[in-house]
Amino acid sequence: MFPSFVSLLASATLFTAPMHGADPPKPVDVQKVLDKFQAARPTASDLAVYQLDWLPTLKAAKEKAAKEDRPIFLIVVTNSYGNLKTGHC
Amino acid sequence: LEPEVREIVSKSELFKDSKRLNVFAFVLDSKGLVIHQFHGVPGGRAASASRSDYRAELTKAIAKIKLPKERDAKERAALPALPDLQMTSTGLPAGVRLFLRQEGLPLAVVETVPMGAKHWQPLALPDKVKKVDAELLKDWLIWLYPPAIRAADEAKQFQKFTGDLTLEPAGTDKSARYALLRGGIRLTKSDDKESAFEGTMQIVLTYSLDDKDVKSVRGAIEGDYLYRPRSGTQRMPLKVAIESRPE
Repeated sequence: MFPSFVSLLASATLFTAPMHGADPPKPVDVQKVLDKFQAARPTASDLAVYQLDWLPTLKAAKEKAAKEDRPIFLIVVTNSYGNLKTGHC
Repeated sequence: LEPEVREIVSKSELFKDSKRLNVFAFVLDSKGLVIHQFHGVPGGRAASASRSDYRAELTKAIAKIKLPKERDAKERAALPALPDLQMTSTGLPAGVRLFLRQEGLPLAVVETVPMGAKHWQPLALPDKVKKVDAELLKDWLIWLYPPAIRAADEAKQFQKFTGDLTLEPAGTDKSARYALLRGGIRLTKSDDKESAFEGTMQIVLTYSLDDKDVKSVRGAIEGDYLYRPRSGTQRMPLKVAIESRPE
């Protein structure tokens, strides 16, 4: 994995969680597990960092920054292993 | 590293700091000039000499530059979405997406796992309770480790996948039939001196009323990553949400 990661600074877009529709009631054990899933799943605002326009190189970020007149947020990780795009680094 | 990035890092005040760790953060203006820098390992409000409060540091940076107008709705819609999988023509989900969080850390890891018919077939709706070999789910389970562990630990994936998982019918409603995949799992590497994972899995699988192929998956895994960097074991609680994609 390329160990540097570039983004144009941008305000994160936050979304609200979707409303539950009028689904029919589910079996009790099924609903308990679905509730556990909902509790474990991050909200949209928790995940906003993944929805910034990250670019893989500083060269590409500078071109975009110049075109859009936006600043650049540059994060450099000097690990030899890991994946910044997934958060596993 | 790109030569230009290497130069920015090596010439920075951060790099000269004896307390530096392995993450560096810079804010550059639209012409590419560095206008603010800070240690990139997050520390929240309890930031120390080598860890930063990102909110505070970015506020300082923003004060030094003129931000452009906020993106409008059309521009925001064009921003990237979460890591995802494309629809397939098989009628089966293209795979699953995992959201993994370590206790005490706000940022989630997002991993996608492509799956084909051979991966889904063992999870077809059973007539009665049956055992499921954890090895069948290894493409999901290899991701059950926290961020920011030692590179050598991360580079060596789990090798043994054991547990007492069962898949059993779990009822029906007007629109679907359900099964539950649940039980304990244990993931290990070469021996007990290396990091491992122990936890429980609870997954709901959904099927149509007239087909046994999996339509969707929702569930959670909870457990501890047993981190063994050199000596001793550090328990790192993890929570994972799993969902099939696309919807």
